[in-house]
Amino acid sequence: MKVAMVTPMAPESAIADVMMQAVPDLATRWDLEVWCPSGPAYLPCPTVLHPFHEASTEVLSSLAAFDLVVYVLGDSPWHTRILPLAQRLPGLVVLHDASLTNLFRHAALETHTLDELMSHVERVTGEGRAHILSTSLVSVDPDEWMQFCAEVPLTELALEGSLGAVVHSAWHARSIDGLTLGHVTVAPLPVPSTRLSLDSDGDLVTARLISELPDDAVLVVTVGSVNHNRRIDLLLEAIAGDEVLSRRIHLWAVGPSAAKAASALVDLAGAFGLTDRFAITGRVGSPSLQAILARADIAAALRDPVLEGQSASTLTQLAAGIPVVVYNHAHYAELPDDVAVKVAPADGAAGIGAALRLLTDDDEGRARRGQRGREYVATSRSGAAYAAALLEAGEHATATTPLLHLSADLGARLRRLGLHQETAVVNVVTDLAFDLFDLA
Amino acid sequence: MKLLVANNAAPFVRGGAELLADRLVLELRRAGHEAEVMRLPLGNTPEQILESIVAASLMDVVNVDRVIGLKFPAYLIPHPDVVIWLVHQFRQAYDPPPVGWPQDPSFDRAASAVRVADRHAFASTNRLYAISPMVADRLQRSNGLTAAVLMTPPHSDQEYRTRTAEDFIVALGRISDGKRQRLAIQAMRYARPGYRLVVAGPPDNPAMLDQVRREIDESGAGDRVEFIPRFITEDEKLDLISRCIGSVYLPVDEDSYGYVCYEAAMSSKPSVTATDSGGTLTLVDHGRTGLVSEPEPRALAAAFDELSRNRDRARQMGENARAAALGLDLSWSRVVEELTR
Repeated sequence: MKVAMVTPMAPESAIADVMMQAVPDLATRWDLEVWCPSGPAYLPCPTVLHPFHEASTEVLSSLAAFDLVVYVLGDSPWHTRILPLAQRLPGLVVLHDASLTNLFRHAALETHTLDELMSHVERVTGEGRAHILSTSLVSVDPDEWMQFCAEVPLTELALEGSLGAVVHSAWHARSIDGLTLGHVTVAPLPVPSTRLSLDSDGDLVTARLISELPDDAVLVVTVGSVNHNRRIDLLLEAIAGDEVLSRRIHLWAVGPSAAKAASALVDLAGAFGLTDRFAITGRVGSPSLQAILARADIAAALRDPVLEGQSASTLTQLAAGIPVVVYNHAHYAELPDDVAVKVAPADGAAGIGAALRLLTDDDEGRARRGQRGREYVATSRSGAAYAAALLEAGEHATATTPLLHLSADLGARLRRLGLHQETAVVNVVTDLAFDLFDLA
Repeated sequence: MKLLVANNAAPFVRGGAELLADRLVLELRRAGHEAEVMRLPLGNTPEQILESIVAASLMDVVNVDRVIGLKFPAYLIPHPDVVIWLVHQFRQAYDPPPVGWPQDPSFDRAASAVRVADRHAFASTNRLYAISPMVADRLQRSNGLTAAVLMTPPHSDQEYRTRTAEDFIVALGRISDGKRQRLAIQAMRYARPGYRLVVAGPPDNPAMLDQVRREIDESGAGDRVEFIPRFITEDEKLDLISRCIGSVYLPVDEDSYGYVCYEAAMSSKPSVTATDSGGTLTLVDHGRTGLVSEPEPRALAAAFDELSRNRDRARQMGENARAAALGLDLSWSRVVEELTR
């Protein structure tokens, strides 16, 4: 079967990295080509690589010659040139993020179609919410924007008419139920490889921090962009609110951050009396990240709201043998109980503090969880396992192809009378189609 | 041409629209066309309404040159050549209660779908006609669309006749709440002596029959109200009209000019109708071709009394009414010409 995978291939893209882990196994079963938006450099690709400059009709017609096209989408501008292809030529969509709001906003700004996007949002959410899309993100409250992204993920626009979807958690699969013509496959996301090489302005900082860290310090890390939804503020509050934690723990936020957000967190740490126990490393390169993970005792992944379909950074931490503290919601709730310590979001800083105490007070227990996490990742995550799930999803997708004709016909008939946007009517037609064609 | 007359269908309900569709097919055939009626089911619940829309939208009609759509949802049928002769819109989706649906999310969804589908169907039709000025006005108000008025000729050809008025006023037609025969009966409580009210027609259901009988008993005018609760023949009908002082017809917001009023007019009899009866005002011009009363018993009784007391004036109004009816120039040949051009 001739298959094209359309994915970013920028060396900095973690999504490209995990997709490439599957390619060797995929290539044994599929006649596979990788198509990617052109750029200055690409990740090494084990199969034929076709960079394209724009989502042109020529690219579309070339892709149409394949038996199946796999589109890889995430919520970043790296996917802007992939999105229009996925919307025009139905294929299997691999969704790395639960929200694609940033991607759609970026694409709409580029193509001057923001009004259309806003109309869609108004239709879906009711009046008064779409204006945030036209507001400069610099002036939008980050919490408000993230909440909007979580509540208006826009995945329906990416999946409309698609032949199926691949996601990386059961939670994400549930959230897109009914949005694609085909099957939704939950695939085990591999752990990003350590060969990722990032711009590393934080490497010097990291080296200093590690060298100055007391031997008996318990190092808690969060890994990834220092966003508002990592709840580092609550971590600081939890640490400050407990005499043992404030004495023993050092908290590092490992990842790039906006100056304003970083400054606010540093100020907060100062207010809690934790200035010498809190650090933001900035972006770090792979060697530095490995050094940090080798030293870290606990990882925290307290995402709220959750915008990604799976946490690659959490998997990385588990692979490093570090126990993680997570909120007991979204895909984090799917982690085994003996691997992650789960905190009810409603329990706030007190709940986080209790989880940190659990791990801080019990060195053996912490080590046990770390070991169990390492085993969990080793046995459930690999490029081969990911490829197996993609192959299965591909079979479902090709079996869905005949439904495209049904969908196109029904869609055209409803559009003629403007009924394609009347949810009640669409539901009736969908139910009928399911009954008649045994689609359930 | 091969013409498909598309109408809706509620099982076991047969009214003016069904008669109109049948007659239209007959006239189209007489004019040399091939014509068939197709009826699409239309239910009552929001779910049934949505299914009706879907059924119409997904239909394929083949071997048909033109679809002539009469009522919702039949005019939604996809075809490159659709001409709509609108009997009426699906008013439950447009009007406020009690004609329209009550405020309810499920009804709101169905109403939204009806209006959206209507808007697109009306916009894409080749030509849009309304069966009366009333229907055209409603369309203008609700959809901002202008429809040419192509009034419906009577369904049957009758030998209308006029005889000297005897001492009764006649209320004809299907007995239903919508036609408000009970209001006319209530009026007889207040009517002066010297004439009767004859109510003739099939009740919509047994409950309606009981209600009318109870109304007659409670009115205290049982000896002045004659009730014929059955379908009457054309001969019976024409005979009653020909001998009456006048006809009373009190529908609520009628779509068309009202066949009952038309038949009275063609028999040179005046009609009493109500201010809220809608299309009947096309033929009933107060004081000239009949009397238009407030829809309450005392006012109606006064109108009945006026016709009974002043027979010369009633006769003159009847003659005026006939002239007005003839002036409508209702002819099937014109209808066929318009719908097939």
